Amino acid sequence: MFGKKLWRQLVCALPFLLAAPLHAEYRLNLQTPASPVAQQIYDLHNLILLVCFVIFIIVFGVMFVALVKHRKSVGHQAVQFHENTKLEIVWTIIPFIILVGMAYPTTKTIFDMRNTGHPDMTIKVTGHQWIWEYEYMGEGVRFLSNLSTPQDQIDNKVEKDPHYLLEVDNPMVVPTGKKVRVLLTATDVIHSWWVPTFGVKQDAIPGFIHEAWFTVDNPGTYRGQCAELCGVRHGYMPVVVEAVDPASYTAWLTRQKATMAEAAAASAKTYTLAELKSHGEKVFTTSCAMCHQATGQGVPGTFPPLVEGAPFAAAKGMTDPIETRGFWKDGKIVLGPKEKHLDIVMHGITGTAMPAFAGQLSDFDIAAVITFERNNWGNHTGDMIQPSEVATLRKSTGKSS
Amino acid sequence: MVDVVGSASSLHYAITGRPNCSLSAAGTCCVFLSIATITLIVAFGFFLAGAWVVLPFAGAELGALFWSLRYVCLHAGDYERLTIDHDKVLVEHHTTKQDVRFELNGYWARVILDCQPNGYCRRLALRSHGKEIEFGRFLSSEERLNVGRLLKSRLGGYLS
Amino acid sequence: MATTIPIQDVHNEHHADNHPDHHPTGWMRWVMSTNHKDIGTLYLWFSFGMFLFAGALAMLIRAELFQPGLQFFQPNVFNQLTTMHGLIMIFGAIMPAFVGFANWQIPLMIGAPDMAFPRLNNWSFWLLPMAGLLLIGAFFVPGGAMAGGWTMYPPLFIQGGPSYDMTIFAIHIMGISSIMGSINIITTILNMRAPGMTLMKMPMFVWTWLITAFLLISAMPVLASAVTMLLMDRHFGTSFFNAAGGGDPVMYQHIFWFFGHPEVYIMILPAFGILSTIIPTFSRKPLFGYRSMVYATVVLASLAFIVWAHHMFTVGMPIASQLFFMYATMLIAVPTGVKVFNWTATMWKGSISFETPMLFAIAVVCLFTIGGFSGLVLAIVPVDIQLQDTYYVVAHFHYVLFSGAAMSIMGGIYYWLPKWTGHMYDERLGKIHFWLTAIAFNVTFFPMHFLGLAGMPRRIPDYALQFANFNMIVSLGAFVLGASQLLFLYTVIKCIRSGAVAGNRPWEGAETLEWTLPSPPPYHSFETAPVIK
Repeated sequence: MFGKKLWRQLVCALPFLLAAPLHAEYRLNLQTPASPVAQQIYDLHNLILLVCFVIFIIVFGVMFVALVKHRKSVGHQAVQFHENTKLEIVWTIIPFIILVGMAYPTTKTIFDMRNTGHPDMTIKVTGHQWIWEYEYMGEGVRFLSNLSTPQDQIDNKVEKDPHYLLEVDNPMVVPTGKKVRVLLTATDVIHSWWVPTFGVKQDAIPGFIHEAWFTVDNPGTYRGQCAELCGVRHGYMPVVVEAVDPASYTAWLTRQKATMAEAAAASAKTYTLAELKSHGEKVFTTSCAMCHQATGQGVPGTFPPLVEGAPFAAAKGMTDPIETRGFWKDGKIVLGPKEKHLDIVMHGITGTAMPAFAGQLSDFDIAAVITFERNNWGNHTGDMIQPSEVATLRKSTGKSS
Repeated sequence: MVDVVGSASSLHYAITGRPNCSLSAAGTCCVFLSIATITLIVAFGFFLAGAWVVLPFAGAELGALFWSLRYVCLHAGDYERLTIDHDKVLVEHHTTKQDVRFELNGYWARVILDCQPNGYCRRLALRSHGKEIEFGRFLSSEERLNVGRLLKSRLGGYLS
Repeated sequence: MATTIPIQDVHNEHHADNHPDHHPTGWMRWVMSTNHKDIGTLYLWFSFGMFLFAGALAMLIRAELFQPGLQFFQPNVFNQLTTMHGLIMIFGAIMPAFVGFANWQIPLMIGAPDMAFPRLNNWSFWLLPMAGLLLIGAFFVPGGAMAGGWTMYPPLFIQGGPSYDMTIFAIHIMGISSIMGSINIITTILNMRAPGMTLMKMPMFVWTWLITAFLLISAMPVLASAVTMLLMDRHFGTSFFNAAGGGDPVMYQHIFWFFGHPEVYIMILPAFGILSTIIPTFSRKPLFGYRSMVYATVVLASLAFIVWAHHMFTVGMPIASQLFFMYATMLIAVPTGVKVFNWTATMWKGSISFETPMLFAIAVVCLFTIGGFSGLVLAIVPVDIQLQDTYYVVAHFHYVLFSGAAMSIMGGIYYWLPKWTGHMYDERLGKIHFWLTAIAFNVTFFPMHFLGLAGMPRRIPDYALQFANFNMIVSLGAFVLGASQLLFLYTVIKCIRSGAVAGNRPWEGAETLEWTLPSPPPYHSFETAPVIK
């Protein structure tokens, strides 16, 4: 199944393989800590590594002496001893004592890590396939954070940025010096929110809300990734946190609120087809193109195309729900009724990777992206969906934005 | 394993073959109970946590284990005995379920020894009056060969 | 009249009587065989085939990760590669290989004529190729093979296509095979020991397998029910693990790892047994601290059942659970340490020679200890939080499973090949294979520690630029490591076909029972129990 294509690609890739990549480094230890807990973890790891190293040298030093001196080729005769209870007791007890010594500082650090009390602020982080959503509790600020690395860089068509795969459109912003509590959950599968420099990694699990905390002392941008296999785009779900001084943070918060108000206002208006399509393209690129591709052709067997007449073969578990909604017939994609289209985008398809976007996108976004999909590539339905239609549907199904 | 009483030249002659069982009945119970205890504790633990599916699987597995150990126990006392008394040959197959006795006339009984080119003798039997009675299922290849040779010299007198 | 009947006569007589020959020949011999040696051979070849296949998948993974960016595979295919590499290596390569050793060696080592249930033995083997076909066949169904990771966590697993169901069935079949195999092994070891072979006189390899079989029997129903619950959630509308339906996705992880951690010992204890056989032979000294080795193995196996949650420190468990599982996990270092110390003491003041099996054994002790140390680092909850699901974990379990289990298997193969085939293997080729494997292994997996520390998550098809240098080194090492296994294949085939005559006991220091038999041992050995002094 891979054969020929693989070889051709291998040969084509050769010149690139030989050139040393830029921005690479030979880092040997944990990333430089940016929070007090991360610093404790860093020191703890160094301590334990040192203890292990010393034991290794002692034990294998002894073995090495045996390997050199007690070998047949130098004429050493085997001495037939094979038991010594005292020795056995000694080398059972000594490691035990060392372990107790390790357990003490570790236990202290665990209690520090888990101490989420008295936070200065709380951010709710929700994992979606494959987007992080941040909600600033009590501020009414909520946004999605998408990978911003262009597909062309991933496909090796253009040179890669220094922060390749570790950059997002809307980073989480926090003030420096404040204790930030993070609440984690997920809507579809298990994700894991991880910022190495904070020493925070916490699984985001559907049906649970877990907490973690961090304090950042220095302003800067801190990067991490999703750490729990969450499907096809697991490798493309970065976490970026920007720490700014409290004054800038307040200013940023005000700006965010203004943006959100604008978006709400945008959902109350009526648009022309051109307006919907141009906004829809933006939404499509950030929220849909990662699976259905910018060409709307999808990925064979995994992600269906969105173009009328495009062939698509996949497991029954995937084609059946598409067929019942009227979007698939006899191995080909058909463009079903717009009500069903709206239903798929808003509520997703359970049991497949298609998420429910009702909670992620605004009325305007949803209306625009469906209009875009129905009037782009080979699709020419002329259908227009207005934000008000989305709002009506939301009310009837009881899902609030 | 094989016990031989008497020698080839004597008139009374008995050979007994039996399997080697290093596990006593009490030992078998111990093994089963220890495995069953661990498995059931685990299964009940998961049952209480809501994963009741573990229970039937544990049960099925313990059933298989029970059947296997029972099979072993039942066959621990099996033996085969061949007794030669003058010209009478008596072959007894004893299993838990049944006792089978065959009586043959030593003068007409024929020894059949089935050996392969590599020296492995896999079957020893006596044949007489159109019947064939296997003997030596608990013996080794070497023992079968030896017993076969002994019997050949003792039985089938009409040949000599 | 007491004449001796020559074997030739007997043979002719057999033909004259024209009895049907019940001993099948040709390929049917292998399909029908109930002989422990044939079945052992089948297990070993099957596992070797799977080892090469899953290894080839690893080569494809490393080709994709050679450089940042997507070169060969789309992410969905990449996830299939990593998942199937793991599943097939564990269930298709490592476990069957050890069962192969058990089949060949246990009857020989305890002086039994065969396994206790020869026909059951045949079934337990022939289930495996069926399971293997299901797993590999999954690559060719719509949507491709299972891509949810070998741990099969829901809810991601629930989203998958038909190959996910095939995987569940494959695991069921392999589980049945394992359970039948363990029942057989336990019964054989306990009931068929030669007179005088008391439990405390059994070779360490037999001991480790006895304990492994106990672990398998305790752990397998848990795995079977875990995947059954997944199946029910997928198709029968239950909500064991579905949060929306009132289920608990984390409960799956508890169930899975309750099986998964004993599984780790199932894959490493027989390896310890092989080491404890090889090291005394080539040190020409009895195993040091036999008793404490047995006790350490029992303690390890018991600990295996109370440490499972250390695989899930990031799921958000109560702090008391974190502490309990951390302390219990740290305790594992004690019995493991006892083993390493005893092996070292066995070599001390010995008369050591360095044939290929011994080279493998020494390398395993050193490299497995590195894996043990990284395991200790991972037991420390705060550090684990940083390293969970990173390449550090990948490095750790390859140090345990490749340099621990797989390299022990290789050492064991070289050690017993002369007994099994009657020929000596080519010592020069064996040593070349060893050095290539040992060096390439470290080039491949040591830098992964650094990648994990620096923050590279596992199971990603593409990575940030700062990880590029080490990934390139890792890939190069992996290609050499993969290619050297072909040399292993060649050396084994060469040994089967030709080579110096081995004799009963090619290793002068070997003391276990199998070396009293001819090489290769007759088709049926020890029908009369030998007497153990």
